[in-house]
Amino acid sequence: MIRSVPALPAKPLLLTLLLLALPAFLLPGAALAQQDTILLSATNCVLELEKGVYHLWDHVRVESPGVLQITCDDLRAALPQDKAAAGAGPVPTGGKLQSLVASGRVMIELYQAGAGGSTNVVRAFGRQAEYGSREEELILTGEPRIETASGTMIGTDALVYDLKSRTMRNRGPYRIELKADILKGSSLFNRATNAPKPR
Amino acid sequence: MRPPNRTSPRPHARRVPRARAAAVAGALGWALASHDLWSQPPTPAGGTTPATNAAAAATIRQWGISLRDNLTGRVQLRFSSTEAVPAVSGKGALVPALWDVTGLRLESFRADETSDFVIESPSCRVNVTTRDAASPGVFTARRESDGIAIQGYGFQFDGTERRLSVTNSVAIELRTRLFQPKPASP
Repeated sequence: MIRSVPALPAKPLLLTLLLLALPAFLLPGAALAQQDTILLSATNCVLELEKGVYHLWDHVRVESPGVLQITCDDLRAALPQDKAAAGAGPVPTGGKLQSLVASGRVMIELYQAGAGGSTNVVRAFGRQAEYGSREEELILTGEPRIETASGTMIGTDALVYDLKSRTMRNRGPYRIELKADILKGSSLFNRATNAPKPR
Repeated sequence: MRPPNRTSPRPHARRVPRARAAAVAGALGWALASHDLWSQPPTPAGGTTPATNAAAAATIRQWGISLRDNLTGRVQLRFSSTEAVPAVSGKGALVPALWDVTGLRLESFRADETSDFVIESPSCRVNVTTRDAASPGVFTARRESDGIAIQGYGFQFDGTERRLSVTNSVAIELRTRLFQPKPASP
């Protein structure tokens, strides 16, 4: 494992390695948007059926089969309401999620089809994950951490995944731990230099 | 010689003979009618022996009641069941507006009186005054408009707030997108 110094500012090398390490987290965005079935389960819940506000707690699990799974202690979700039919009251539209806040031992697993029929899993951890439809961002806070097959990205404040641009950014310092395996065969550290050749 | 009903092991049955049970059932029927009882005429099923208690005497098959908004008069909730029995307090008296129902179907309506969601439970207790229903057992709920389906154990439904609380286990299936689809690239 290669460890970078904590709280590093972004450097070209690190960004290059980050691009190598995190494509699996960035790509499932397209699949997320196309799934129409979401399964929620928990021990307890309160559902405001008219308002479309759901609160689940204790052993909460959110599944979009084959795409992602979220487990946490507490989940609050707001489902879409159609305000157009004002006279008839709000009516669920079956559209997008308005907001989602998962808190307490949050783990997000993203699944992506890999080469040869395999499945790549990217795991994100934190104390809270928040999604808002206005910003179209998934914000992971509370010692946020993302683990891929290539390495780990650890933030100190927040890791923000922009669903519109499908890009990842950090809020505050961060560090990346890459597995040495990804550098095997790489010419990154075997390039010619201008140092005098040994005699 | 003591009357047969004085030998009953259930004290409340002694205090509520058949005639009184029928009167209570009639009073409950009147109370329900004030809430727009739309089901088939109540058919008392019990009361055949002196020991039969008041609740059994007031058992109603194909029970149903529609609850309307006080201001608009529109139907908000409709309770129906295959069988309903007035709930009995610990002292053996009937509790007004409280029913133990079998085969509950609870339908909620929107302001335009179109169907919103349906809750079904094999067995639960209904309070028609507070518009609550609760059961420690299994239940299902669904809403056709957006395909939401809920099943679990142990629920309480607050008909005034349209709030469904689940205490033992719940599984919800949503027909919705987790995130907004990205617009197609030109």
